[in-house]
Amino acid sequence: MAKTHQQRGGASPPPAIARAIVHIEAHPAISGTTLLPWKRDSGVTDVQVRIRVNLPTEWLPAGRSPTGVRAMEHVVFRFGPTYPFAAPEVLLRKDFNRELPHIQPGSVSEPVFPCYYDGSPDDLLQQGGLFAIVDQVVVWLQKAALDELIDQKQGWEPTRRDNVHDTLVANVDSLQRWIGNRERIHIFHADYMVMEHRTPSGIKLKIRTNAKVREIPVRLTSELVQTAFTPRQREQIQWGHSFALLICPGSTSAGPIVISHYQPETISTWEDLLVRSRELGCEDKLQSVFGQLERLTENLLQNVEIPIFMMLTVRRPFELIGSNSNIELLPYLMWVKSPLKKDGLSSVRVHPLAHRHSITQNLLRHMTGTQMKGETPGLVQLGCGSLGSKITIHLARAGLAPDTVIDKGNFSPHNAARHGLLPYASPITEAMDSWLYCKANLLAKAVGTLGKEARAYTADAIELVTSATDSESLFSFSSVVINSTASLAVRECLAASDIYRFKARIIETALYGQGAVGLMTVEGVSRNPNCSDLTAEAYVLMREQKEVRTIVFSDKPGVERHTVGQGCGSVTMIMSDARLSMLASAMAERIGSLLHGGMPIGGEILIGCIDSDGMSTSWKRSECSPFTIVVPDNESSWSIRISPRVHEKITDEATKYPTVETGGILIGRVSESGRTITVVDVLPAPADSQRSAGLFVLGKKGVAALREMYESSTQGALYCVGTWHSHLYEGSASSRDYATAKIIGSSQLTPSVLVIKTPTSYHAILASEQP
Amino acid sequence: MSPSITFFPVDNGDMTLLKFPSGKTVLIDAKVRLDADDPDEDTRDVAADLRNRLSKDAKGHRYVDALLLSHPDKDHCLGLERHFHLGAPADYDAEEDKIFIRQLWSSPMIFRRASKKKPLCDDAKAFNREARRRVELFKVVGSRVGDGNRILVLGEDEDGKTNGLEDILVKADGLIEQINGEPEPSMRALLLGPLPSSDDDEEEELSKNNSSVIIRFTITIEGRAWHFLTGGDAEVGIWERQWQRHRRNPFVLSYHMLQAPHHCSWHTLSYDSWSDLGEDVEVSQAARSALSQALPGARIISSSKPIDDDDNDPPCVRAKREYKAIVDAEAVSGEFFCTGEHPSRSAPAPLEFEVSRHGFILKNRPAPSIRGGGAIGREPLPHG
Repeated sequence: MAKTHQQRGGASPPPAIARAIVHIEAHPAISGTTLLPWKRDSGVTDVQVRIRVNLPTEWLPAGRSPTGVRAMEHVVFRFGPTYPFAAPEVLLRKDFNRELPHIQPGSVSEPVFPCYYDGSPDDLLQQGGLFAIVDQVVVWLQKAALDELIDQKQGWEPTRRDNVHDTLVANVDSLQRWIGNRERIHIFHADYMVMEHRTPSGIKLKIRTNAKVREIPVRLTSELVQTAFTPRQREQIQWGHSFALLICPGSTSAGPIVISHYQPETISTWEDLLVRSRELGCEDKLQSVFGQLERLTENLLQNVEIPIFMMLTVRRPFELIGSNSNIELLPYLMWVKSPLKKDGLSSVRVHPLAHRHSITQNLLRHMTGTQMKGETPGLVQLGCGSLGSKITIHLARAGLAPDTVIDKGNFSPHNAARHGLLPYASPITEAMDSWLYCKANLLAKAVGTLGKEARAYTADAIELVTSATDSESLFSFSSVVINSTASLAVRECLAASDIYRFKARIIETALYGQGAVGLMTVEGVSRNPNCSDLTAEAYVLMREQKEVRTIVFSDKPGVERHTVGQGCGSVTMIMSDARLSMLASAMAERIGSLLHGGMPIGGEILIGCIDSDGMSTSWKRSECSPFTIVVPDNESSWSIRISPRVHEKITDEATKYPTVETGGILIGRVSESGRTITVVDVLPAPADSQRSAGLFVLGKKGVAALREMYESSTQGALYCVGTWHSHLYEGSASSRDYATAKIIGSSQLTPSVLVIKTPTSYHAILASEQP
Repeated sequence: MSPSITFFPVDNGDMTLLKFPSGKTVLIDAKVRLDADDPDEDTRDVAADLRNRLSKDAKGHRYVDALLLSHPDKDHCLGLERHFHLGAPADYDAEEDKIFIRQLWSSPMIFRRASKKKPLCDDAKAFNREARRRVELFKVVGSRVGDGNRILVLGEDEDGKTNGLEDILVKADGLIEQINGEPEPSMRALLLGPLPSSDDDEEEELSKNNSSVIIRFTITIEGRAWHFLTGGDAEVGIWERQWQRHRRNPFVLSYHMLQAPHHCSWHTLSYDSWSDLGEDVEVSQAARSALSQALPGARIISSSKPIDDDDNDPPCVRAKREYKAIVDAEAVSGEFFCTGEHPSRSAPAPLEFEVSRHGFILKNRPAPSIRGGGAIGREPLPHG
């Protein structure tokens, strides 16, 4: 169809606007445009755009839809001086149906501003050009005509307030607890801050008000009112503690009042507010509260102006989009002066506020896509150093904050180089005094700002774990403990903890080689494999990867003492905060998915490595089945833990020699504190070994070199822990086995083990001179 | 899936796709010129437009549930062999990737009348061969033939030629309520033509008047019925007969959407020649009555070249005036569209209507080339 372009006002438009008109007219739904008279100095150009709305057959004769959208809509595109960086404003006619959703709040004397795009129109302009803006407006009008601006299957769409700058932060989930079926008004503390702007002529303008509503209702007392009417002021900021009214809808004989039609957001006066509260059945209550306020402010200092906040709550016929509730919260702001006079309120303006959810773990879960409902399964963070704090903050930001954080140390200035927390200045002293605090307290405080009350313990982890009472109160309700202490002692202590008393599964996190390698292990069900098993198993895996092996099992010390003050040092690694984050963030991501997706049945070992380019990271994930636990026949206070890999190798070897005994050398670790020998690898029997039906004699040819090679490849992290041999029949160790164990035991200080593989099970003899 | 009707810009000719709420599709005629297949030509690639609107079956073959040929003129079947698989399903060549036709809707009576008038084009002959193959298969196997072998015969032919085909035959004034052998609850298609003749003279007359399949489709969405009348190239004599037949119950001919017969030809409405007589031509009131049963909000679509104020016919400006008068009547307040002019004469694009509970809604489909932000690609949105 032919398009028409008209120009009113004579002068030619700026080139950018001329081009814009060409783009607008390119859209097939545009019938024509008219350049409205413009003033060169204003920098604003209005273009009237005539948009054809495709009406269905049924409404074609009337030329308009039942929602009042016309077959030809005249829309104004208002181009500001910042166009084409900023999108034009889109204005619908003043008598456009304001009862449709997706319309910005405004008074009836103003044009109607449609919310035509779910995002920034400025970005849409950059992304898709002006044509995309036109297309969105066309689509919006089309949907408005068909009454399809909201999809009721998705839920009730709350009144749009995207462009409202004044905000009210409130936890709707919490406030809803106070909304029943009867009309009520609850009073809450509301902390607020207002920014002011003074015009050259000296007029003060309030340009932005932000408020936060607390969660427990209070009584309207003279003290409350007195405090509210005592605002504080510094330069161009006013702040104070005012109050917010939660206006709850009532009921009729037919039941609770439910408003199932869209209402335009046109409340701009006290009278408008009263009319709306009348619909909700709570006008009398509102009048009564303001009557009380009138009395309570009678004797206050005159002309003190403060904001008070009103939260209308409206029951909708079904749940709001993205919510489990059918209650819509509509907050407003009203500036009142002392003494408050109800009769004088008619001249007071009421401003809509944009509601913002307060920070809760649920909000953070929603914003981060964390698919988890309810509480996290009892999470403890052990170690609030650089790695532990980063993991904690990542998890807390994802709505998976720990319940408890534990660290024995203070925040020290050198921690500023790498940590999840920033040193903060006290608003009182304005000094960088955060190093005065314990790490656990600071981290718990940070987690608190992310909507989770976490307990902080400044204590030695080993003391807590080994103390029966502390352990009971701290860990009995926990199901996961993240250990980021980088302490071998803490790891061994956790591994050695009684499984019946300490049921929480341990996730170990550690960095190696100046943050070039990260290791994370996750214990299996019933803590088998445990953190110590998994670390030993991880050593085998890391030994197999050359690039990881050279970093982790380096002959240079991984951590060293570094000066952090005159005469003071800290044993730590030198690495940047960013490098640490590369591995910490991946660990947090995996822990998050385990917390909300479910812990694995078996154990998990994750080895991450930063590539030589310093940017790329690669992670390898391995599963680990439970270890076989054997209690030595001669020493029941010790246990031998045999890895699945070792079990498989031993079984294969024994199967290879079904008619004679065979054997080999065991590799692993010995934990004297945990009274455990962990076996994670097997070396083959030397060539000079002798195999017969009743005896296996382990030879010695090449054994020393083989052991040396294995042990040095892990810098002694894994070493020979004993021998194994097979028996062709069931039964425990022979007297010869005990004799051999004695020889082995007398030759070294640390205990060793003789493992005996029978056709169906294991036996073990601890070889030790020690009691 | 939204039900829809799409008229493709095929110059003077028809290619109309009906999509029902179940997703089933009925294509009425096809016309794909060689130019339209040539990427170097500006002619709209209507074959791509059509394919984009069709689904693929489990074997990955793009298909239509039914293809109806209104009559075998070239401008209603051009390119059929090139773009549609004609032959046994087992012979489908995946590399050729042609459109698979699950069921043919064919009228042997119309083929007979058309071939009397002039020789059939190659595509029409190919269609006819395929129709015969399917009919013969039916005679052997019966209704158990599967997808790609089904056929629906429209109109009972003379001299018992369609005897034995009763299970796959729809007579004039009969209803079609199935597509490809399955019920389509949202569709009732009333077969208004071809009409049988009572004698040789009438047979001759019907042949001369481009005997075509005439169907009034009723599409029901959420209990509300919307009517689409389509009649190939049927000319004045046929519409006069339709009026005589239904004048007592003209609702049978009523529509919310009419595909102007014979690409807005004057011969649909008059026996006079527009190019010879100009404004002296006279309208056949009976034919006009048959075609003017427009319901409120009705649209008339001319599937043709752009319509100019000249001597051409079709499309004929005088016919357009008549149709405009029908839709402009106050009780109708509808719209007239020409496929060659939508959305612009320079770049016509498929004219597509969604069928909603409130009737037909024109869909805006901006051409990709005029989407903004540069032609190379749309910019990804970073997050800070």
